[in-house]
Amino acid sequence: MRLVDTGNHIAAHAVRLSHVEVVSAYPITPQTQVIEEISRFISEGEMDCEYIPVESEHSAMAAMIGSASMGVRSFSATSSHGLAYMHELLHWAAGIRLPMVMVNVNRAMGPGWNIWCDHQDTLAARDTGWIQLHCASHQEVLDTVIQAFRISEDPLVTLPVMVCYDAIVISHNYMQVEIPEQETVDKFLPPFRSMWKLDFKHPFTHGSVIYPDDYEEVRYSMFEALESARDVIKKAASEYESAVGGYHGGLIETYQMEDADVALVAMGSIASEGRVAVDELRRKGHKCGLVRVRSYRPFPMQELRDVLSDLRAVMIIDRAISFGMEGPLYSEVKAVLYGKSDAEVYNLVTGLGGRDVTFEMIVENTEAALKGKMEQMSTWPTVRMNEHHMVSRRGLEEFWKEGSAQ
Amino acid sequence: MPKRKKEKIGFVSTISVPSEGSVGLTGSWRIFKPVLNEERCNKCLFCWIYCPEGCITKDLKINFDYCKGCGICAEECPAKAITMVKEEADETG
Repeated sequence: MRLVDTGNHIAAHAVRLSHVEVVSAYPITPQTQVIEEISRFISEGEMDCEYIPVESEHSAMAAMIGSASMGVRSFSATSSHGLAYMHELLHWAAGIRLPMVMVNVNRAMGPGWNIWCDHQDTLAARDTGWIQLHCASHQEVLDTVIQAFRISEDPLVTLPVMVCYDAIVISHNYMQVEIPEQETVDKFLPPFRSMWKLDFKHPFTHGSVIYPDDYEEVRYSMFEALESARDVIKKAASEYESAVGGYHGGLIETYQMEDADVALVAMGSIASEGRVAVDELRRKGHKCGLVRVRSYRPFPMQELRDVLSDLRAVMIIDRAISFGMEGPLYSEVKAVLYGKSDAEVYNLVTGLGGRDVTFEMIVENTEAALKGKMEQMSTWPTVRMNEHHMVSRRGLEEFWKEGSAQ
Repeated sequence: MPKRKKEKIGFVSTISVPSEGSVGLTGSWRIFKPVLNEERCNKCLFCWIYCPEGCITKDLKINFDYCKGCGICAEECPAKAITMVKEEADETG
């Protein structure tokens, strides 16, 4: 079935096709359509699923931890402040090794209050033990949500998976998507068989007190599971391609990298704009390619070394900022290349709070870097200082003037 | 991927199974000890249901191996049949 719909509705279709039995979620712009569509599926009998309308995101994740502990395939969706609000429970879900899938629609953090796209929310949840997959198209959202259940439930992994896609650009724009048949998806995604579940006949507690004698082993086991997840994610992507159709890369996706000596690196929908930038840079005579980081955790360490080490220059585009440092993706790509590459590594921090990122801007800045007109550090190419932004400064000046008069 | 360790640790999680006193005999924490006056007691079993440690049986025997002396039983007893009495030094060790 071919459908033209929003990224949010497409995600709901993936949940329907995955036979999810419990959905626990709280609405937040720009994620609301995901759970609206799921509610509609349930009310119209298209899904046999329990929807728990909770009073907050903290409760949404708590209820999901409950249902996943009972061995039930569970799903939630959130965004930005919702993700921040459930942060403690993200650690909980990963710490007791619960398979579950959550969509996070990447939205900027407030204040200033903003419902548009950037990656600050997800990257702040980086070290919770969740797997993070970032999508760049509507079709990839559908395919990745279905794959995410398989990755999450794999006995080598048994960790929660966050599927991330950009607010508005993907969540609200309409695009054409191929929706697979239920029987086809069923062949790829078997019913959930839990490693463990709560059982009245054999009572035990998960996530109880653990002394220094054993704590490190629990954390090492999580570390090891994320290492194992590298192969599981790649296998899920290739098996999905043969069973259902549609491939968007394993841990990374590359474009025009075969003969490239310059690469753009990005995540999410900027990587789609980056392809247009690559085409334009090639027209201008630069051997440019693009690497999209699809799996942010586990981070594609070896894959990035393989494609980037021998290049002349790498331009990393961050849609988030680690205050007091630099773009987070920039830091991590540099870390991966440390001691393995002589490439010059540049960074654009751009697209925050939904600021438009155009291929022209990427081309212009990449050419500037290649001409040696950019330093190897974070550059904010789209920041402006204009009359509009002077309002807050004038306000301050008046405040101080009045204050001194009194 | 660099080999970090030869052997894999596999799935390790924090599971605990219900068992008696997994942190030892918590009765040693007690300073005040509940003493039951059987003549005043009307067998309402409030103490049995309120005891947070399950230290009072239905026939009103108190398990002093685990009773921490929190005094909830004495507080809740409607007949005022339980009094909290300071332990002798030799009893608490």
